[in-house]
Amino acid sequence: MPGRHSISVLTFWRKFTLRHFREDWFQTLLLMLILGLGVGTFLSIRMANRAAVEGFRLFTDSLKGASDLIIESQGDGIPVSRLAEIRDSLEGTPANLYPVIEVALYPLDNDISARLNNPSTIRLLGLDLVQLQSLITTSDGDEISDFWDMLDNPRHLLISESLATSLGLSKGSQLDVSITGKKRTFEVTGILPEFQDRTPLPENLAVMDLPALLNALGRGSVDRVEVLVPEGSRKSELLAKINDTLIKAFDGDLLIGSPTDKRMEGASMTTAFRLNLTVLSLIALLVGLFLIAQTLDATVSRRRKEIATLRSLGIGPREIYRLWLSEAVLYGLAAGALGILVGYGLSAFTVEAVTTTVRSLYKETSQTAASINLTDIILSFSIGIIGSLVAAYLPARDAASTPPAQFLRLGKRIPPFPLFERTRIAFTMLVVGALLLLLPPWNPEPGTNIPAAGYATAFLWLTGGTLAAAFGLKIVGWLMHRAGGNNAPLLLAGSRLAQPTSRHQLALAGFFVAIGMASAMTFLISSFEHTVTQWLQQRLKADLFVSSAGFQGSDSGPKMSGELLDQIEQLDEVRSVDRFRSKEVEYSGVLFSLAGIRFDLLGKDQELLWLNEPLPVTNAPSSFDAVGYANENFTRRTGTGLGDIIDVSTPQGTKSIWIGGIHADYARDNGLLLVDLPKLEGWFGFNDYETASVFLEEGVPIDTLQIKLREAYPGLTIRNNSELMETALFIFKQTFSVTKALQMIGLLVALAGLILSLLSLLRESGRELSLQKTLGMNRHEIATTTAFEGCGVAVIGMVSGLFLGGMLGLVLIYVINRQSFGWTLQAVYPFLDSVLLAVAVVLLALTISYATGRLYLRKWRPELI
Amino acid sequence: METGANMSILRKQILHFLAGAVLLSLTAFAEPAPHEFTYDGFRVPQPGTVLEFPRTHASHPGYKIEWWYLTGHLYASTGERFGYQATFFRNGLKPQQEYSEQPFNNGQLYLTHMAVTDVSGKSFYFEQRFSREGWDAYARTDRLEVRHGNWSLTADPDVTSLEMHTSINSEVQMQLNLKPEKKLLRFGEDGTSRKGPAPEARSFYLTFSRMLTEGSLTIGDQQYQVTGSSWMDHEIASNQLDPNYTGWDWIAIQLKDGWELKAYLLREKDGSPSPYSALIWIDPEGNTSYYGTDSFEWDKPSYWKSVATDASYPISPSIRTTHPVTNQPVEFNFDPVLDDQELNLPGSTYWEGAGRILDASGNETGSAYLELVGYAGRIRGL
Repeated sequence: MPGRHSISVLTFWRKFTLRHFREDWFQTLLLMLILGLGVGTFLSIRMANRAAVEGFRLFTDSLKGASDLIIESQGDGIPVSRLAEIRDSLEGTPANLYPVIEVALYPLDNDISARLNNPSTIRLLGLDLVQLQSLITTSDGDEISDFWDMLDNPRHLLISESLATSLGLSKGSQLDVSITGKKRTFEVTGILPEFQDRTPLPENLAVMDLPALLNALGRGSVDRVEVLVPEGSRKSELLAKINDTLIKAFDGDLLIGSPTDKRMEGASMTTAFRLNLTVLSLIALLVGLFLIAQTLDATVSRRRKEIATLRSLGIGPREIYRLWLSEAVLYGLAAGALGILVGYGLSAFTVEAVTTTVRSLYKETSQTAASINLTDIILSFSIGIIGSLVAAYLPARDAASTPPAQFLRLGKRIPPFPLFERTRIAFTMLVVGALLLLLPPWNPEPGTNIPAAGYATAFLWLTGGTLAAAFGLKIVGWLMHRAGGNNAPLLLAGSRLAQPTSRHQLALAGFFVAIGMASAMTFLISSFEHTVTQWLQQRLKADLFVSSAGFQGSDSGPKMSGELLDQIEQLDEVRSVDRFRSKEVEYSGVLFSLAGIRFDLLGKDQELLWLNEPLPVTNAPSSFDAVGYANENFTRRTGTGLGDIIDVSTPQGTKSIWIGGIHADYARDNGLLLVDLPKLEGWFGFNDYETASVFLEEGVPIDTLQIKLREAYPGLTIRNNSELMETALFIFKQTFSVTKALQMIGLLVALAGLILSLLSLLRESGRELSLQKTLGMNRHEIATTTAFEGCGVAVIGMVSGLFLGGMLGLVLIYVINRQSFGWTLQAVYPFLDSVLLAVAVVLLALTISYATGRLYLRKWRPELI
Repeated sequence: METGANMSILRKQILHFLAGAVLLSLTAFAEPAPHEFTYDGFRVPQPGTVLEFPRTHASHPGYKIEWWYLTGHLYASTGERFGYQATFFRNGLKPQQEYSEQPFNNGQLYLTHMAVTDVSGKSFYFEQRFSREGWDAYARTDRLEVRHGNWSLTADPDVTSLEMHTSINSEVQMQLNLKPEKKLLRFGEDGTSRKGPAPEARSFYLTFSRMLTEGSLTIGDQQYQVTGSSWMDHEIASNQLDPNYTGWDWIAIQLKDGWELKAYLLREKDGSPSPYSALIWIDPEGNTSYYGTDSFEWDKPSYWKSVATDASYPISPSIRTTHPVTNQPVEFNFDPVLDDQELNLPGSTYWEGAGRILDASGNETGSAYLELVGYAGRIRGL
């Protein structure tokens, strides 16, 4: 009878499983939280990654729908005078053309800029609002007469509702901003609703009528023309035709691409970064799974009487096995549900952190809110359930296969898992892991290197290390026993560790993995900070550094007009000004930054940190257009090296660049090739710059000139050397904010796991503790025994975890990081952090273990024996 | 008999001429001449202005409003029937004399409507565009060339042949060549077409009432070679509609016997027709006869209710008048080729569609385009 069967399963659950959940509610809750944190961390990183990629969509998409094609110039924008030419080239083919300017605004009012919910700037779109008038409605439903009045106002500005809220601006507010380094005052003339035709607007969006913005910027060109083919049955046919027509008409002159290409480009550029985050986010999950295994193992031990009774009543091993797995499913479901909640909660932070990193390291993106979708929910439950089932496998098999008589035998300790006894497997995994490091990275597409072998090594070392560390329990137990002398607690603790149970092994495994991964990340971050600081000290030689206010490092950030720099250069106090400007170009399918600096200042005012000193020009081949100094990342991504020549396409035709030196640069990871600035200016015809370094004449007081320049140019940020160093390091710290957050979560899980493990481990030793009490040991002695035992597990986990962390850190620094990002870092081990962590862990373990022993005895009852 | 009929026609024409002359002189005495400029500086069409051709076919940015309005009936060689409407509106915000070559000119706006009725496919396609004058929308001032995106209307220098390229979304593409079969008409006894009581409520109203039309029409995957007949209005004004009007009913009929007829009812707020409503006969030679509201009846026997907008339109009007030559009563019953020819556009929804003209006996005597404005709420700008 199926009905009876289901009732019996429910009864089992209630009596056999839920009863224990209720009795050990604190432990169950803590376990659920750890699992939830594990699944949630993974989920939040997944959401943040998606938001980062989603952020690469065009800012204009939300206002006028996604474009079908994008026309861009190889040089500095498309002259407005050419718009009619583009239209004429399409003849009668239906296509809507939208010229767009996209610039960055930075509020100069300190109060307002402080209210920006991310360190980035406001993205200002210049769009033909008359063309879009039927699409754009302001949130207060303005009348059409207001619309025309607004267009006549050269200072008008429409801002998104979320931006208005976050900056405390309303219709009529004045806003002082820096554009191209110049101060401008705008008037908020309308607030755009948060959703445009159900598409959420980017949070940091402002819009202005295109002609007014052209005037405000003194520009005669637009950044791009977006092509939208109207909907209809012939859309794809027309789109192909338009694409072909434009390519034929403007080949080698304008760049024709699709928004998908753009997004893929952004997504591909960040593949390695996002994969790294995903892998790191799995740590917490992995630790959680060890804890599930440990918990289920503990319940096998705790409920052995019940298992024996069930077996005696004729319940077969298979049913017992299923019952245990069903309990794992319950944990998995809880983990999935909690994971969704935790993931959603964490995503608010991770999205911002990932977006910040992507902005400063890769390219400007729109801030996109994290969203959870059905796949996330399914994935969350799947990870929870599958992970729990994997973790429950060993305990469930143990529960099902142990004969009833053995369960009922008093005093019998649950044996360790055989897998943890096989040291040969452990060492094989460690050796295979080491050998894998010799393999090259996986190269799924040009310019993207995935350190697959490095990840495999990390996995094998984690797993093999877990098994190997378990072997350490016996050694430490033996050592404690030997050192015990007449100290009964030490002897007892030693003998228990020398004969570890499966719970000892699982407790150690979880702790080992958490400490290992957290310390490996600490190692990486410490090395990174050290290397970058050294590089900055070498690179930042100038007295003053100039950028447009709000510039954050991305090459798509706000630029400053060259005329302002010309004025600064002509000051008597100024010896020289170097300018930096980059253009994104392509070489053999890899997009990289081709940038200009003044080569005539190298070795005098300016310095590069050479990895390969510049070759003498006499080594150069006979014909090339410019000497280029590549960063390491460029050579790795493009597969080029010192002395190679690469061809790049510019508005002035194809130019050959001879790679004459390789330098270190950690500011961008998509590859950087430096050429002499006048060459770059000639090729691309620009007169705006990202940053400038100002070198002063001897004896000129830096502070005085800095103040003078700040007053004269309110739209520019003018920093002295130490301020810039501080800012640069701040940006780099932000870049690593997600990694640091994951490190913190790893540590949190490690410590929570340690508490849970010790609680569980020592509670399950109740029979031994009762025996000790009966034999006459007092509470302090018994608590000291548990403290030694707990401390022993913690110290083994700590030492082996730190060792694993050191090794994994080296893999992260020399393999994973180098292959993913192409950065060579100097390995700097964070000894102080490690010592502090070790001390904290040992003290925590001592406290928890001692307290558990004492608290247990408070509830002691003789019949427990 | 024939002589009697001719005499009757002659008498009628003399009477009409006299009536027109009396009306003109009464008007001249009864009201002041229109101002030369509107309060915002736009020119006002002046009675008796000598228009210079072909320059007049081009744009007049000194006047506030101007449109080039084409409707037509097309037939594919395979038997399918289509109707089309193409309207290029120019609306001046700031008066100017010449076509501006600025890429973004806030002073002039272009609103363009395209619609195609596929009778056998029972489909109606339409699209609206709105732009300021500049790189993507303009009308030249030296010759007829109006563009809006990929839509264009151009003519050869002497306007004996016009080319039109249009599309509607990614569904419809149309390329037509239009050749006027009759001389250009200029409406209004004094050279301006009166539309309201204000002296300035007048326009220069020019029409090609019959144009031989040939070209290709693509709908979805199907391309048709089409021929047919089109009607083109070009109207230039600055302040022609009275604020008391709520809309209008307008019809352009092309009869099989070579005559055309244009009629419009300007509707007052109380529903009555404005005295400036009119019916104009155009004979095969292009001569016109003007009838006032007392000389024709415009009945609205039934209404069609739009599912999209809930608006009700009198899409099957019956127009009764007398023939200017035979002086016999005639009846024109408009039978739309498709009920749903509503252009549902934010702020300016209206019905404009193709139809057959049936006489009192139900015989098809011609084709017509009917425009019904002001039935779906207030029209923006009216």
